Amino acid sequence: MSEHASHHDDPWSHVPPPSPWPVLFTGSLCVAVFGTLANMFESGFFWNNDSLVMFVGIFLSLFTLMGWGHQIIKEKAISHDLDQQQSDLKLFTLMFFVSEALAFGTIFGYYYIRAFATVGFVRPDDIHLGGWPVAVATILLITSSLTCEFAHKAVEHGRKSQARLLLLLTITLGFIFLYAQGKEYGELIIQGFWPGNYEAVEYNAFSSLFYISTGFHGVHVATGLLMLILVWLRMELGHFTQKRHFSVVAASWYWHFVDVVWVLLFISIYVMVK
Amino acid sequence: MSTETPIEAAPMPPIKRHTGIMDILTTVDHKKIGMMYFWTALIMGLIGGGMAGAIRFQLATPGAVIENLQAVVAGTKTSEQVWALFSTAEGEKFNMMTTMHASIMIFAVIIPAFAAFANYVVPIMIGARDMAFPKLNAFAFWLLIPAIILMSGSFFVEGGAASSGWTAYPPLSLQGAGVNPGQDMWILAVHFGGMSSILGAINFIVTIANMRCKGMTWGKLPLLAWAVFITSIIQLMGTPVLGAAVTMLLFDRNFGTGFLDASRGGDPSLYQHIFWFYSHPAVYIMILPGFGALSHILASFSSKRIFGYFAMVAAIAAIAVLGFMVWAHHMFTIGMPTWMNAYFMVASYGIGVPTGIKIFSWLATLWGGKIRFTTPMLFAIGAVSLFVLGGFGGLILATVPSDVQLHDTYFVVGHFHYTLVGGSVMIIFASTYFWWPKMTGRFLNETAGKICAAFMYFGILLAFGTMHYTGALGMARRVGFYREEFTHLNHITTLGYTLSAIGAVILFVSIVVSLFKKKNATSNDPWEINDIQQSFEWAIPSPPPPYNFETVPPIPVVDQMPKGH
Ligand SMILES: [Cu+2]
Repeated sequence: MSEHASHHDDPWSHVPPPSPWPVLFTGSLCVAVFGTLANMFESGFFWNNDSLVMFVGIFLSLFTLMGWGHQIIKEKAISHDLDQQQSDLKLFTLMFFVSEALAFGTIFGYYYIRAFATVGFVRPDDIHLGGWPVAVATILLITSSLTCEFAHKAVEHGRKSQARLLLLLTITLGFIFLYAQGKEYGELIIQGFWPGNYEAVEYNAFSSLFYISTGFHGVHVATGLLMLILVWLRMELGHFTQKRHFSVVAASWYWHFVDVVWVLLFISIYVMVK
Repeated sequence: MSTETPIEAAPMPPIKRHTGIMDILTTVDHKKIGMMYFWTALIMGLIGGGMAGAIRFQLATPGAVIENLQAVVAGTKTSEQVWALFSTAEGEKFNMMTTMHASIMIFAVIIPAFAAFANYVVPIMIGARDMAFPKLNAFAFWLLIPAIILMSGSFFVEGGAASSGWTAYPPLSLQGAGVNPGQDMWILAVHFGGMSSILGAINFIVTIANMRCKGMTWGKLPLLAWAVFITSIIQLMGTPVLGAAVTMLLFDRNFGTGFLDASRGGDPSLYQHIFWFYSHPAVYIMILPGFGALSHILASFSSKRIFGYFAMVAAIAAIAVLGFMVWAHHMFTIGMPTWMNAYFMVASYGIGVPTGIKIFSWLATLWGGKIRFTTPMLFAIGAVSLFVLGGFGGLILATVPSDVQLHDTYFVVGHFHYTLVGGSVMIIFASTYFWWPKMTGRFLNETAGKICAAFMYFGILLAFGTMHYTGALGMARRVGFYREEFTHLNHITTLGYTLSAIGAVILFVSIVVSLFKKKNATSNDPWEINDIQQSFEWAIPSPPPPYNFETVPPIPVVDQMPKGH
């Protein structure tokens, strides 16, 4: 009759209990953002404790997010309709990637239009971008995508020790990538290549784009690493079965996504020079 | 048609739920969240509408300035002295009002109001017990609150609220960087609102794609669900682009980057391209759910099924696709190459085709129907006619030569208010009157409703019709002062505003009064439409019980396209 019959076979399969976490998480984000804003303008708005408010807000945000995650993990343990849930979560993740892709797409769009269709977007001649450390980091990140995929397969086949090894390898490669990127940032900043350096104002647009694209990507790498570490911990706690391990799927998809974005960034910014 | 017998209901699992304020804070029920969206939109609507009032009354009585202009003509004051007024606190406050009126109306009223009906009605319509991700649904709602706090709070910080228009074009929006936080608060509010939009959109996409009940195939999906589904795709694809644009602005203001600041190698016109790549589709985010609701209301009170179901769905999809291909028609005066102007002009005309298909399908739905002029029906018919007027203004503005003349005049303001107030807000009123008996079990007063519809319709017609004329004569928008010859026209516009404001107050009072009345719409189908409409929400009690249905919805899914049609 219908392709989605399974959902209604269990009449109470979709009866979620109330949750305090969405409102608590929003409130914490509020505190973090208001604290940051007050801090940025040195307003002393929170009785001269602006930076304290900011850090408390960030801490509370992470805490409430974990509380939310904990409630979801607990609920899943008692839920019945596995297929429905997996298909919902997969579609959610794909849609989330669409929005991420559009955000990155805007940055790429800005880059290509500025670099190839308008004036005033000057690439510095005297500053060397990339080189072999970036090339090696790129190869390592691509490798980590493969190890991550094999880790996912290992979880699917219930080979726990293999999955552990591959996950830890992926995490290590990710950290090496972040280290390489941080090192490159450091070297570039020493050479005066940073947005807001008014002595090199002619490079400002290019350096802004360079830092926002690689930086936004770096934030994604860090998020992906956090996800992979959580996945590893949950695997050690025995949360996954061969059929039920959506966190592994999501983390590995996310990692592939981050990898693909990096390859595109690498080609655009380091390789394709006008 | 679903012919299986419903399976036996299992006993309701024991779920601890809170009451009172704790219930509001912790609920994940799509119906309660829908009501929370509704109340937020209603209260913010009064505030945003009040700001429109402040704008209108400034423009009705810019007396001091007219005297000043006369003084310039008489030679007793220099034009520099008078020009200085435009940058004084008065002029600045006026610009804050226009900026925040627009931002609040878009992000805190129209989008949440449609989110309210989508949340309440769509899961029931598709036979689901709740949204796919109920907690995420609550989160998407709560994210609106920081956005509202940031926008409203920005009036009280140093330098006041953002005053660079809701479009926040640089370099104007780069003014006061590092000193006045108003614009930065606006940017962060857009981030919060955008996050809310994206998460809500993903939730609707997954819900409608995955949670449809037995027999509810895509070809049988009610039009509101289709409209919300396609709107969600637009939101999902557009909002990240807006987020990136305002983030560039935030970085340029605070962290020394040079994306958009021309003095640092940035490209301010590229901001306009990125901004409108989101914001043209955003106008469809604000009208397409309304098109869906309109189809239900017009069909219901014509005692017919909707005419041209398939064409309606195809037209919504076509509008969504074309919507991403026409953004630069807002920028004909920035000096684009002629071929680009020509392309965006013709592509913008193209939107008229699917829109026309929808309008004619609605007219064909009315044709030969047994029409009942209830309040929702009056609002719906009014909305169609006002939206058509707005559409014609849009054709004139999409034409490059006339747009160059009319750009940034009140003609533009009149045009988009016809579509957003005459269209979206009228449809929100219609939907409120239509679904309120289902949502609360209480009818809103019908007599007051008809008076309200008249005030709204004629108020909108007068206010924004006059604006077209004022604009064609050359009055610039976003300026709190004008030449004396526009005085009478501005008085007429303010009169129109007052009429529609009275209409809005009537709705608000009706809603409050209804809450104190006994439940008088206790039947499942208070409008007596469901023999023909066969929609799930009219087959369950008013208001619906928690979790909507015990097993499967109590009536079969019907074909949207009757045989032999
Ligand atoms: Cu447009």
